[in-house]
Amino acid sequence: MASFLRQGLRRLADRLRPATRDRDMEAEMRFHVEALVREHVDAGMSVEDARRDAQRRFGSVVRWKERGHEVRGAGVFETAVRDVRVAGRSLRRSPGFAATVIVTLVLGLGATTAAFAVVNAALLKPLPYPEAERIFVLALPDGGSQSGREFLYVRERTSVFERIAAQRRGSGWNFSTGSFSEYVTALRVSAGYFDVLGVPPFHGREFSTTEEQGNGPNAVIISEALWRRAFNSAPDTVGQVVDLGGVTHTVIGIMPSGFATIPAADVWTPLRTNLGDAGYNYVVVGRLSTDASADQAAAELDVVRPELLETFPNLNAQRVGFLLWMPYEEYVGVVWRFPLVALLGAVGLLLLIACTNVAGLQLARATDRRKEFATLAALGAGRAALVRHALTESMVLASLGAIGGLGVAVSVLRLIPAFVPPEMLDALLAGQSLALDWRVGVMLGATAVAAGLFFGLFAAYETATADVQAALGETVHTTPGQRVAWLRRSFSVVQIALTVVLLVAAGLLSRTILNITATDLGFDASGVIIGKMSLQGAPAEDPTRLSTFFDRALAQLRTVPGVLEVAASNGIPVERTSNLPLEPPAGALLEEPRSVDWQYVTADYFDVFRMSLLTGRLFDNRDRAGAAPVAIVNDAFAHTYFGDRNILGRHLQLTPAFSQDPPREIIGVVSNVSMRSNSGFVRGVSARSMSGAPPVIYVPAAQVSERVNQLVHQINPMNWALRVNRGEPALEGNLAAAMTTVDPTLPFIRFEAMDTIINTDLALHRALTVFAAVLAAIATVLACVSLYGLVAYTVSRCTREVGIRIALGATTGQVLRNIMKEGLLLTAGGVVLGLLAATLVTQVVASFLFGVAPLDPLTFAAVVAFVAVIALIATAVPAARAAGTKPATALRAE
Amino acid sequence: MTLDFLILRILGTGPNHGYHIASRIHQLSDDVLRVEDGSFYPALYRLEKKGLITSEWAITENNRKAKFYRLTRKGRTEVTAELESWTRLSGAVGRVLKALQQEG
Repeated sequence: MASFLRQGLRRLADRLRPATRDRDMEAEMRFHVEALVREHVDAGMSVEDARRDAQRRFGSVVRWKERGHEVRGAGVFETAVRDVRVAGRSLRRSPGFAATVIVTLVLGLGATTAAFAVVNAALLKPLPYPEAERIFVLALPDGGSQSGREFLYVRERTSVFERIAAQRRGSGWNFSTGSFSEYVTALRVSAGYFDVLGVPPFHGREFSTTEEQGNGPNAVIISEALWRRAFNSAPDTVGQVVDLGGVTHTVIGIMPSGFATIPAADVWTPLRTNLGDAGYNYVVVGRLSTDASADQAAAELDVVRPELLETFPNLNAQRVGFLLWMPYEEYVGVVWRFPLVALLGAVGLLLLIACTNVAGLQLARATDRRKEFATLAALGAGRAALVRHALTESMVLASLGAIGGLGVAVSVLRLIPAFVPPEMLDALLAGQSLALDWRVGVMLGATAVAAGLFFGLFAAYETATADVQAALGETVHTTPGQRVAWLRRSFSVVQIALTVVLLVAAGLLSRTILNITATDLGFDASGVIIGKMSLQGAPAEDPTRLSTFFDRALAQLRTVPGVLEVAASNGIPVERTSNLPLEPPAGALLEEPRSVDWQYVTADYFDVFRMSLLTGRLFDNRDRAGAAPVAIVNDAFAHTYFGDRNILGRHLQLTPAFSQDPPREIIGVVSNVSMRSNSGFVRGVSARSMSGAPPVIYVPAAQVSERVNQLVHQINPMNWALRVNRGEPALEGNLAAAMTTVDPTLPFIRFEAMDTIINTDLALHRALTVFAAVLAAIATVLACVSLYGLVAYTVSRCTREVGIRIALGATTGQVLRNIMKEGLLLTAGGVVLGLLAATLVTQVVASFLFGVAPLDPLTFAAVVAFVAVIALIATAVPAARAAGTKPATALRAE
Repeated sequence: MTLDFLILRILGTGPNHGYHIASRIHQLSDDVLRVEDGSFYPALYRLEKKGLITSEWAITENNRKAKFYRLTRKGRTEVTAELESWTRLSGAVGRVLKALQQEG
């Protein structure tokens, strides 16, 4: 076996390395000749004679070697190697051309590969569950979820699914056991959920219908990673009791390492619902029986729909009509399909620009080389050989472009986390990594080959039509075919048009970013850090105990070195948190109940954020539990509800049945702060709403009803807002330690600088702007190169003509104008086409714009001016060179 | 076919280098077949490419490095088959000649 392998390797080396083969034959034949000599010497001949005779008998080693090569050579493979060598040599002779083409391709292929890698991770990689293609989701076509009615009824009714289960997006909980305490993400899942995914717990069991009951036992399944962290992988963990959001739960199962649900979670708790549950909060998943098909599932659903409507007359018939069993793999990517396909389209256009550019360059080069090819043809090179040469050259260029493009793609993918907020990236990738895999490799290879063929064929055509007579005879007038010239001109026009579109998009998005960052947020973020904490279920939510906890914690945090001011609240500026229903206040302009932004705050909240008091007073020691209930509102509230700020002493109240909150007297009005949507990124944030200040009610943290505390803590973690000395070492560690002394079961989830929170909010805009700007920059460069190449080429073609005209008395200016006319006409055509396209495209990005109209005249004008200047330079440089031609030189040219 | 066949036949008696094969062919044909011309080494290479023989550099009894050729299993089968058909053909030719002789 070993010798067989060695033989194989040797033979491979023999094929790959003609030089090695040559040495091998040389040595073998030398040995033969030596042996002949020895034979003669042994027979008594003189060494001299023996050598001569041997030489004569053996003949020419060189010739036999040549024939040996013919026999041993690997045919196609070696021919290919030789072709590649020749192509390499020929490209090295025109380094400028080669470099331009390769850089163009690297950019085009790099961008395409990076975009495809994102699409691959988000849409194409299979889900990490066994036989994932059998998992389906009962959903609306846009991925909309279901209520308890659909879930329970369909689960009861189905016969084509092995099992149907549901999940509900959980929130975060504080998880503690022994001395371990951590904020974990949770997902509520019904009985059989893990069975549907096909991954059972590796310790213990999954939920049964017992845990699903409204009063069922509190059970929890934990991830392997949490098991390691919290229990040090102790084998007796199943059956242990842990504290989850202030309630004891029994661990009944541990999921295997590497397992993740979508969305990912650290713990899973039982989902409890009933037929009266009308909230559309559930994702219903089912595993199709092995002997059933998707068509059967659809047919069954057709039968179930009318039954559903009959059983639950309140259901929306239209909605039920849209219900379908969607493959889980498709469901996971459904939200992203459109934006990602758009991304791929945009990048594909860039690649098209790159390829047309290269095709143009190739055409010019092939035309220039007509004479060379004609000579080769005259010397006996077949047409096939010439075409092969042109194609090989293109393929070599495409391969080099692909290798460079891979490098670019890897760098771009590394940069993505810096531009895209982590939550968005998690949602996008659904547990998949951005790592390159075979799909990306195949795509890159196929695209490179297609690109190589695309521009190679232009060159090959131009090469193959090289006419010996024409090229060698009438040397001077080797004018390129009209078709070629026409093609190159259209390439240029399209490129300029696309560049204009991309520049306009980039310009509008950049102005949006500038407008947003220039907007006064209404508070001072510098030096403020936010520590988030879940208070769900802890430390009891009755107002007195909560305010005692706040007092103690605030006192402790103030002792930490570096802390200047500190406050607690369920919300902070920028992030919108709680929205509660407000009764129409007496004497207000608005008469119907409305939901309004609502925050509890401790006394120093307004100071921490440097918000200003417009009238009345801020909260202080008077505003304790049991004291007269008070509230502060912002300017926007005063104006929306009462029309002016003169509202001290007026009263407002949350819907009492809902909140058990007393009527409150308004004691102050504070300035507005910006509040942004922090969940809109999936659908695209509407930037117009971003700097708007909604009405906000602030109430003292000590005066909140238990009911409202439960409500707001269930939805979101609360915030510790701290104004600090940024340079203070170990600040976060000290803050965490201080908090431990107050309540060890309440860990900080994370600390974030307020600046970061503001920037994260803008991250999608920034990512889009950077993306558009990069594409626009690349497109501009490519379009310029193309235009420059075209004009320079025209100039080189008519050097003689220019010479004659100068000799006949034309001025430099006249010559310049004449040459530049073509380039500038093409530019004008491209710009007009581009502006038309841009007016359509900007409507698509309109929802991302802020403070700037989709048809912003300034942006459009700037883009036109920019393109005009660039085009002028690209045409003027070669034209000027031509105008400077001396008549004598020009006439001698060629 | 003849040169290829002779080479295979000689290698059937054991691995050897090109010079030895060539010498054996001279020897066996009483110097009638002189193979030191352009066809000998290409024939070896062709046989190797066909997979009938393989080669390996080794040391000769005179302590020199030489390239040794050896029959592969496929080569051995080929020799046997060729030998058979050759024997059959030469037998047939012999019989024909003999018959013609008797007639004459």
